[in-house]
Amino acid sequence: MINYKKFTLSNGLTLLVHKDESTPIVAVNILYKVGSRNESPDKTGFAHLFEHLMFGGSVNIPDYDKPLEKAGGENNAFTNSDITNYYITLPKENLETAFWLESDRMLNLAFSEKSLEVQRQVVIEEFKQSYLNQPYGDVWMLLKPLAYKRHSYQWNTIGKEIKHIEDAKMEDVKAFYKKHYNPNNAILVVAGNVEANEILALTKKWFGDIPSGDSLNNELVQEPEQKEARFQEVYRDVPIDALYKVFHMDKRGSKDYYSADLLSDVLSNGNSSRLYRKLVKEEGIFSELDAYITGDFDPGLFVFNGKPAEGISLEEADKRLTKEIELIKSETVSDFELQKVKNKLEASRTFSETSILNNAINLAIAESLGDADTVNLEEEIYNKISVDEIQQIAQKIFQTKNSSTLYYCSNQKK
Amino acid sequence: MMQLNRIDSPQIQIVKEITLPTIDKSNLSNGIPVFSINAGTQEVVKIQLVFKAGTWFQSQALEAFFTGQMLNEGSENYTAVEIAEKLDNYGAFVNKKINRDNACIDIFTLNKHLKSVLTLVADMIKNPLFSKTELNRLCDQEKQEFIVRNQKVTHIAQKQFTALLFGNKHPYGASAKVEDYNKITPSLLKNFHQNHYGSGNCKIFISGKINDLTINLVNQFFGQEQWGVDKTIPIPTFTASSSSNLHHFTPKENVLQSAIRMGKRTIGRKHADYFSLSVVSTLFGGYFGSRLMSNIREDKGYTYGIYAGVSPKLHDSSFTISSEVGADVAQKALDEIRFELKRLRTEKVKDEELSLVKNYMSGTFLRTLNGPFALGEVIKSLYEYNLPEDFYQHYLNQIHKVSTDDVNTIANKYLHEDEMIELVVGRK
Repeated sequence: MINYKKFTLSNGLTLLVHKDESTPIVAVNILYKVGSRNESPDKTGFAHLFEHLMFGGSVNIPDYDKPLEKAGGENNAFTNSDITNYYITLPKENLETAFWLESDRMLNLAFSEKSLEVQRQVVIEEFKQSYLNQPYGDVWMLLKPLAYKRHSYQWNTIGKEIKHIEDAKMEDVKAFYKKHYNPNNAILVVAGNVEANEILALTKKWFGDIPSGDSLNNELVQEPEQKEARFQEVYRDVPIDALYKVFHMDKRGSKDYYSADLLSDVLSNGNSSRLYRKLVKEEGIFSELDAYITGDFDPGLFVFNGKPAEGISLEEADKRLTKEIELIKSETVSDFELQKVKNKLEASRTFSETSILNNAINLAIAESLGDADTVNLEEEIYNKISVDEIQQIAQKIFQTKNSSTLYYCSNQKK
Repeated sequence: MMQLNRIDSPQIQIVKEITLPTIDKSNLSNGIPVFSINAGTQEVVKIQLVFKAGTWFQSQALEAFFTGQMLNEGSENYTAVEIAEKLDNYGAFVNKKINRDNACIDIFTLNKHLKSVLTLVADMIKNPLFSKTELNRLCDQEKQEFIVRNQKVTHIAQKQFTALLFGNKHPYGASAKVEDYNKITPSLLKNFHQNHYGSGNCKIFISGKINDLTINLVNQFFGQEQWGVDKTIPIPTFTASSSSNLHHFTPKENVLQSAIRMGKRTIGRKHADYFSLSVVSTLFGGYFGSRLMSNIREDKGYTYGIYAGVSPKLHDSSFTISSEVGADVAQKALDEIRFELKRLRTEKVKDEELSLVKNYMSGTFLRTLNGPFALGEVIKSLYEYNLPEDFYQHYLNQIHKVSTDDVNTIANKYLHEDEMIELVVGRK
């Protein structure tokens, strides 16, 4: 159970306060409802590049990091398809420093040419380090456009290509900021040994006079139903073949989403899960095999990825995996199997709740999806799901025409 | 209403003293020392069993690693499938962390399942079977992961660099080769387990929401009689020797980024200069605003990240700078690193920069005490590395004592650019 109080400022900023008396640290999390799905197809990678620029100084504070470090604080941020999220942890005594810094960069950025030039370069190095210079690093650059033909999920958060980053202009950057970085498009969460009324007063003091932006029409082009199976094969300089198979599924927070989440756990969460026990341990078809869901805000993907064991071909591995997928469609899972993943979920949730930063981030994400209280209601939702619903969701998602398969082949074996 | 001052930072306070929560020390009936700390609000507990059974004690590569990993793969009373099934059903996790010095078995569970989980885990730890079938499968799996890891420049650099620092025969410098995965046998692991896992070679750390029942249960499952190796085992000695050649290059074609390592062996936690060296290395490369990050990432954009720090171990320690940089700017990055090292020795640091670093380190220290399990790790490190019990009590004090003159002195003594071993993997 994560306790919280919710407030809304007149400029539209949402504030959530979570109290935990057991820690000397406070977490300040600010979520902007903008991700790579909000980018235009010819300017991809922008939301993430922008995250870097948010550290390049704001209108009244030339350097973001130094004053925070001086206050004993630490910060980081992440961008995904749906959101950009910034967080700070610092000693409670210095909480106001976080308000000062975060409100100023919501008010206005400094937009220095030097910062843009350097961060373009840093992001290009990140692109290389995480996607191009890693074995299997470009997998999602292949899978996303294979699975999505219309929706903006077809490109990765880092961007479609390095060129889009290189071409980023100051005017584009400014327009992006003006459109998305406004109080009415943000959620602030403060977690720690704090009083809600004091946090509300601080929030009004620092964020209250920031004008709201235009309300956004976030309607995105949705992906039409997939009508036939897709397949792609690539050769890369990797030592071992890999198999990827994805299916479209429901969006996060919908009822079928929760069933699909449990289905992925039955298949692959833990060493006693079906796929691991049968295909990795007993039959030795795969040396690694995972099933998981992407958890996107718009309809996302149910993903299988695995590496065939030595001497097993991709075709054989694919065939055996497909058989297992068919099995879960044709027979209900046992009550024990389902109860087990529910128990595991309960434990994971309790472990996660020992961290105030996790709590702050989870509250912000739930609120941006519509209701922070979801963090406390989910347990009940999961617990009610029946073995029949698991079978139904498997039948709904795992249809051949709904699948995209990628054979990622080692050219060292060619 | 008064105009809001957005220019100046609000008043800050710097925490210079803290009180660590009390550590309860006791012994199980068979003498195993137990250190526990009661903290947190969730009904969870972490129990850690630490054995002197790291790679320091092994006779061949991967012996310590697979001994730890195989604990899940079947015991006297439970098959591997049963172990997996039961742990998943309780939502419990058992992590086996085998490092250079120790083998640490971490058990995470909800309090309500503690007894059931301990029943299972005690058998896994005391009576593992080391079945040949399970071992072969695990070796094959790990071998494949090893082959993939070995493609990464950063991984290659890490392995080669520790060998350059300590020598490839020394436990801190040695690393496994692909053929070592074919040389692991059940009898080898059985033997290693017999000689290293047992009540005589074990310490237990407990953190989370705990009470008398927690300790009683641990005593019931691990404290009743002597089990496994029942006396303290001798610690073998090794002599480390760093490479006398300072410049190393391992070419790898077609890479977009090269991995850089630079560093040397250095002092450990018990040395009088350790705190000062920690401050200097943090200032140099230990946080986002460090000299290295400011120059090589934020000014030049050569890299996504560059870090430097001391990694203290039980018997020896090292200082290492590491980064992955654009392959076409590798040499430029090296030059800048040397420039920064020299500047650290020769230029006086401004008060403002030094106090920022100290404040940052105070905050970081508080963060390491954040949450019940983090506290557990801090306590564990005291006893794992034989540190004085007041080590962390004095930490903040020691950090804040470091002066601007100390920075140059320490840099000259420990971080001279002409004494660093340098390795580039990739192109340059």
